[in-house]
Amino acid sequence: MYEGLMLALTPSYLFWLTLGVMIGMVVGTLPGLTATMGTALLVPFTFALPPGAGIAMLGGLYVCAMFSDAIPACLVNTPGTPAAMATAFDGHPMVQQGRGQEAIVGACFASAFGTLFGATCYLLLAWPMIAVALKFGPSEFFWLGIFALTIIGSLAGDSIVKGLAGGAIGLLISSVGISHGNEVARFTFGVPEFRGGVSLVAGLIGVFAVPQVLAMVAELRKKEYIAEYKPKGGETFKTIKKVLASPVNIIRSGVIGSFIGILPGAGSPIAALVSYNEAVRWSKDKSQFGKGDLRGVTASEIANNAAAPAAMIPLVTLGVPGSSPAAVIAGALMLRGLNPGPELFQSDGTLVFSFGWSLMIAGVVTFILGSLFAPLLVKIIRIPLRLLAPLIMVLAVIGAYAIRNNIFDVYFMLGLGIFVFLVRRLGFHPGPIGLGLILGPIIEPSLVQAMYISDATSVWNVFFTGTVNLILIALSVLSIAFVVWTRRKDKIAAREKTAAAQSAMADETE
Amino acid sequence: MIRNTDFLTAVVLFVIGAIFLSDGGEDIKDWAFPLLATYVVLVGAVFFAAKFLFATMRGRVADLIEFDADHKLAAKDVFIFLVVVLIYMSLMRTIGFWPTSVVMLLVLSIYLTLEKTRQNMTSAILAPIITCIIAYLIFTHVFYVPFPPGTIWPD
Repeated sequence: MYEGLMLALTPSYLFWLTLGVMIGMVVGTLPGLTATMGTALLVPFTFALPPGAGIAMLGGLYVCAMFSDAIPACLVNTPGTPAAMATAFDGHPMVQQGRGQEAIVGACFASAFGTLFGATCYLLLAWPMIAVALKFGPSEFFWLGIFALTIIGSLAGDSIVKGLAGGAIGLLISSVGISHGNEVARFTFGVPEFRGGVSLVAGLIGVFAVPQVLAMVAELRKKEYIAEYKPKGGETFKTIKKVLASPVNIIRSGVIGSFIGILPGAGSPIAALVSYNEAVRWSKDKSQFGKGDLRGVTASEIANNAAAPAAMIPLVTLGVPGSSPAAVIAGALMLRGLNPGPELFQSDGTLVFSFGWSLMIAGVVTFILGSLFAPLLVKIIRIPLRLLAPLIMVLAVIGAYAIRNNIFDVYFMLGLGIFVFLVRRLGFHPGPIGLGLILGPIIEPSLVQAMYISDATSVWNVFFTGTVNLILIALSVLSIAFVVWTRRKDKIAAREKTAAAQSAMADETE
Repeated sequence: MIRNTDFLTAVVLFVIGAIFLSDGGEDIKDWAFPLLATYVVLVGAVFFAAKFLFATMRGRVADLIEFDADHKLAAKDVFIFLVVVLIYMSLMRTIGFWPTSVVMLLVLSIYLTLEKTRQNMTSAILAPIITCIIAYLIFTHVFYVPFPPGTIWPD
């Protein structure tokens, strides 16, 4: 491990790592460019470098993209990647309140902490963690997805029924295309392009960015900018202090992110959503979540960044990548004749450990660059809406198109965006719809696989037995019960407050 | 804008439920998941329809949609914005992504600039051109994303 650290600290490694981080900053910030795309594009450039420096550069890009996707999420309510969806829930309201710098610096510090946490797990706990991860089969993934769905309780706004219906609409949209069972075309309505399914990124841009742009246009005559912004000195340290004031939130988010990160297929978006949900559930004062609570931003960012290094754990221990960028990094290693898996630990342990240290250093570099550029980035909100709205629209089109080079994705994005813009007027929150879009591709394949397994035994045996299943079911039930209980409590409190105010008014009149 | 939205919500949810119920098959493995989600949507629709009916029976004013002059102006801006975006999307394949993007940005920036002072107009013209040049360089020459080149131009 020590040799790995020394290798990671050599100037050439640090240079390539920093370059990877800088490219990651651009990749994450631009909607439509994902960490996977960025790492894949960078692979050919790593051939000229030593293997360790090459994968350090790719790792740096991956880690930084997991932070920089929070920048558009906070500033213009458009997650740079699906992993930043939960960041937008509180990040954008913070920006609207003129706390943009706090949101960006908070996300940056949280990302750095999450990366350090995930990288520490990679370096120290890889083998014990993978033993637990191996217990996850299709039914466990199904219940994990259901557990993540309970976040709707925190996002639903005033009406939980609208939240549930919104989540179901998201799940339905995600089920368009070829089914996971007998490969039947579903909900294509005679449109051949729908057979390939809908693009998740185009869908998320449609759910978040397009309604935001249309809302900007609708408000153009009332306000000139997204929000007022006055740069404040010492904001970085103040924000770090605020983040550190919730140590339980930090540790919990790190644990959730690291654990979900090692589950192949789950990845950063689920980690961020589950972590956000837990931050809301365990907080004493829940009233500010969704309205600009820094703890919401940090919970999401710590978890999605902790998931990035953790996704490398199954890669180096089992040879199974935990995420798409991890799969690209696996490919980069294989192209150099290095087979990821247990034998890599034995044949080139220094490389494996130097990668872990590089990820850790990438977290620090991300924080330094992110805090330096934060005041500059926040100035985006000072761009007049008359210019910003069309610019975001073009970026949204680019983002939707770039993923699959398919013009149909652009039409789908616009159609979904108009739909969400209209239903927002009916009191639907875009969060549950986006949540359904993200969780559908995780829940449904797991459900179908588990159903196939249950053909050989029974539904009960597959879904309702096994320690992990029972824990996840219990957590889901508790989560739902908790939502019902807190909503009821809030309703009673609001009713009592209104009654007290009315009686006070009556007393005054008398 | 919309004070009581229960009726409209119920209609929207019923329509979505009906659309997704219109497709189906025999093997439960292919359809269990979307069916469950559709039932959730339909239960929501029934809930809001019942809520609306109760409100109507109790004599409460339901679904009062109010449009004042400001709302009309906002709706007009959004409508024109969407029309321009739709024209842009339909011309993108023929004329090419980057030329249509520049034109769309210019048209919208100029339209949305309400106070057409010299300074505002300069920014409304320069910002789209500069943005498109930067985006073109990043996406085409750094990340090699192939955008529709347009069919009317010679190879």
